[in-house]
Amino acid sequence: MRHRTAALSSLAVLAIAVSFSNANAQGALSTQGFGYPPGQMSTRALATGGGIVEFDADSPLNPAAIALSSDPRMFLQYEPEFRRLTNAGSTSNTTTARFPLFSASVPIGSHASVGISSATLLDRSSATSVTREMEVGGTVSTVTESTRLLGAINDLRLAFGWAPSMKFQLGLGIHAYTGQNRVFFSQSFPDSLRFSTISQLSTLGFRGYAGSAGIMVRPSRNFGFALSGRKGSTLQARSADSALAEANVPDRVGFGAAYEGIPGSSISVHVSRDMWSRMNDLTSTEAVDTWEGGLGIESLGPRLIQRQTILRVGARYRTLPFLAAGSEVDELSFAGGIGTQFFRNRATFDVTLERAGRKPKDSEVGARERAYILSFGLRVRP
Amino acid sequence: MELNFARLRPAVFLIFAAFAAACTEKLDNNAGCPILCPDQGGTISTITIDAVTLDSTVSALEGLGTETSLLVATRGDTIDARAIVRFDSIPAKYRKPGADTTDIDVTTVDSAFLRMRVDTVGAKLPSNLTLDLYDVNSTAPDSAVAAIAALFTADRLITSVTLAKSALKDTINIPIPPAAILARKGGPMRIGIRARGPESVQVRLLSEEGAGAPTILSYRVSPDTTIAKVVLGPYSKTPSDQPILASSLADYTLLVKGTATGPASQLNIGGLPARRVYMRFEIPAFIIDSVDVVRATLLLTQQPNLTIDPTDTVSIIPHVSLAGVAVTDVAKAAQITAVANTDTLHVTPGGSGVKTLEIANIINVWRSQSSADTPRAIVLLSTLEGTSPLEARFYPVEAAPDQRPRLRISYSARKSTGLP
Repeated sequence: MRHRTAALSSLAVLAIAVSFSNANAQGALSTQGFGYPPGQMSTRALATGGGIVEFDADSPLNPAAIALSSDPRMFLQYEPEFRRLTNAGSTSNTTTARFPLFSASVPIGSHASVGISSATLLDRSSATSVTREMEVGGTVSTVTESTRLLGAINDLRLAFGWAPSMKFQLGLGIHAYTGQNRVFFSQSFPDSLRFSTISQLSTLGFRGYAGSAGIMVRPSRNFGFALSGRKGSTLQARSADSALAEANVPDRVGFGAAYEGIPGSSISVHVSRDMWSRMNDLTSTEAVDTWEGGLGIESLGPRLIQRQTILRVGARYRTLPFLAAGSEVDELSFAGGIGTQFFRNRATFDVTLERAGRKPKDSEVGARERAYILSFGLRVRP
Repeated sequence: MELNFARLRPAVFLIFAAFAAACTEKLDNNAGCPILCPDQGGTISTITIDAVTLDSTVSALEGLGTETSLLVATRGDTIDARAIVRFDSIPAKYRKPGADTTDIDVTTVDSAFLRMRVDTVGAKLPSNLTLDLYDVNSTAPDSAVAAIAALFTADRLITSVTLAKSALKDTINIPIPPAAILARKGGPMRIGIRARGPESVQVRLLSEEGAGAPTILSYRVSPDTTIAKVVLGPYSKTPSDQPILASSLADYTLLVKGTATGPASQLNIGGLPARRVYMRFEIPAFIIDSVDVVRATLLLTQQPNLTIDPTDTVSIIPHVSLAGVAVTDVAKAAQITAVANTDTLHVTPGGSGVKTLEIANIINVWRSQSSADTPRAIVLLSTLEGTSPLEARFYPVEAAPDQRPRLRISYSARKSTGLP
C-alpha cells in the first residue's frame, strides 16, 4: 500500500470567485428584464385601446372609478397571448396563458365603495433553449442551455372610492406587490457518460408597497375627465429570507378623457407615464420610463340572441419598460371587442381581440414581434 | 337591429377554439437567441490536481464460483485454468410420467450429452481444440486447488472431444460414455474440463452465474426414444450449511496456475487471480460544495505489460467505494462497492502513455456523501475480472508528477439569483 498526502494546499490560491449570474435568457422583445406588462386593464378597457381605463371600475388604476359602483361586483379575466418572434430569418411561436386581473368591490351607502384587486404588473413567463459549441476539459462539445422562467410580479390593491356628487369622484388605494419568479436553468451535453448535466433552480420573491389616488370629474353630461397617480415605495427581490436587491415600485401618472355626446356611444382617450427606471437597482437589464397613449370607441351594437351587445374598438401605443439588446421597444396595438349581458343582466361577458406589433427603436436590432391577445372578462353582480 | 346567431357561429367557434388552445402554454422561444438572451451559461473552468492521496493494488477476493464464465486455458507456462461442473445428484431410479408411480432402477444410459455454451470473445483458439473431461469426484473441498487438480489423470478420463475452431460458435454438445454416468448413479458426479491443442488454448464457458442454464447433462434411461430424457443442471450439495456458497460451487474455474502479478511499484488491474486498484481522493471543498462539476477526468499513465496478450483489449470500469471510515483495510474496502454509471477505459496491456477515464458522475455521488463518514474512493477493475488473464498496469501516486494519477475537473461556478 502506498500512501501520500496530496499537496492540496496549493489550491488555496484557487479562491473561488463563484460568479452569480443573472437570468437574462428571456428570448423575446416583450419578456426582457422582469417581463411583459399586460397593462392592468380589463377586457373592456383593452378593447378601447385603454381609452376608458381611467374610468373603468374593473381596471385597478384609478381608485376613484369604483366610487359609484351601485352593486357588489366581481370580475375575472383570462387572457392568452399568441406571440410570434421573428429574428434573423428564424421564427418562434409561443402561447402564454394569463389570468391578469381579478377585482371585486362592494358599495358603502350610495356614494362610496371599497374594492380589492389583484393584477399582473409584470409577467416573466418565457423559455429558451440554445445550442452552442463549448470547450470542456480540452474537448469541444455541443452544449444545450435551457432556461425556463415562470412567474410574475402582482399588484394587490385595496381601494376606497367616494363620490360626493355625480360630478366628482375621488379614490385612494394602497398596494402590495408580491409574486415569485422561478428560474430553471440546465446545461446538458449529448455525451452523458463524459459530461454531467448542470441543473439549477432559483426562486425569487418580491415584496413592495405603493399608494395611489385618483379623481374623476364630469363637468357636463357629455364630458368626463380622470386623473390618477401611484407613488411607489420600496420593492425588494428576495431569495428565501434574504433580500437580494432593493429598488422602488414604479411611480405612475395617468390622465383620461371621455366624450359621451353621441347617444349610445363614448369616445375616450388616455395617456400615462410609468417610471419603470425606479426598478433599475433590481436588474442589470436597464428599465426605462415609458409613455402610453390610447384611443377607443364604445358603442351600442346590434342585438344578439335577444341581448344587447356593446362593440368596442381602439388603438394603443406604448414603449415597453425593459431594453432589448440595448434598444427601447415600441408596441403598437389595435383591438376590437364585444360585450353582452346574461342572467337578467347580472353577468357581463366581454371578449377582446388585440393585435400588437413590437419592434425595437434601434433598427440594427432586427427582431420583430407580433402578438394576438385574446381577452375574456366575466363580471358578476351576485 | 337583431343579428342572426347562426351567422356569427364561425366567429364564436374560433374564439372558443383559441380559448381552449391557450390552456396549454408553449413558452419555448429560441428565435431571439443569442441577441435577446446573452450570457446564459457562463464559462467552464478547468483545473488539474493531484487529488489521489492513496492508491493500492488489492486482490479482487471474488468468491469461488461467482464468476460469470468459466475460463478453460492451457497456455504453456503462463496459465492453466480448468472448469469444474458438479452434478451432485445423478438419479438411480426412474419414474415414468403419468399415473404409474413405480420406480424403475436405472440400468441403461443412452444418448448422454453434456451441453455447454461457449463465449469466444477474447478466446485463443488453434485450428483444433480438444476438451478432456475427467471424473474428479472427491471429498476434497472445492477450494483445495492442488488436490482437485491432481485428479486430472488418465485413469479418470471420461472422454475427449476434438472440435474444429469453426465449430466453436455458441453451443457444444459433448457425448458422454454411458458407463461414466452409470458409475455415479445415486451419487454425485463432478466433471473436470481441460482444454488442449497444438498451440495455446484459451476459451470461456458460460457459468450458471453468467447465463440462464447454460450447461445441461442429458441422457435417456432406455434406447426407446419415446421415453423422456433425464435433464440435469449443475448442482452442488456442499457445503450443506451454506446454500448460497453451494449454489455458486455448482460450476467454477479451477485456477491451477495464474498470471504473475506486476511489481509493487505499479497499479495492476486484471490478471489471474484477479486484482483491482483502490484509489482514495481528497477533493477541494469548493468542488464539492460550491460549483457544478461538468466533467472529471482521471488521468492515468500506463506502463506496458508484455507478459501475456499485450495487444488484446482490457476494459476497465470504476466502481464507487461505499466502505465507511470504520473499514480501515483497503483490501476489504475495495470489495464494498457500487456500480457507477460512468465511462469505460479500453486499453491494451502493452500500451503506454496517459489514459483518461471520465468519472464526473462519481464526483456528483460524492456531493451527497460526507467524506468524514465515507472516504471518497473508487475501485478500478476489469470488466472480465476473474475470467481473463489480461492485466493493465499504471503508475502509482509515488511516481513522477507527470506520471502519477491526476484528476482534471471542469466546473461551472455559475449561480443564478433569478434576477434579470
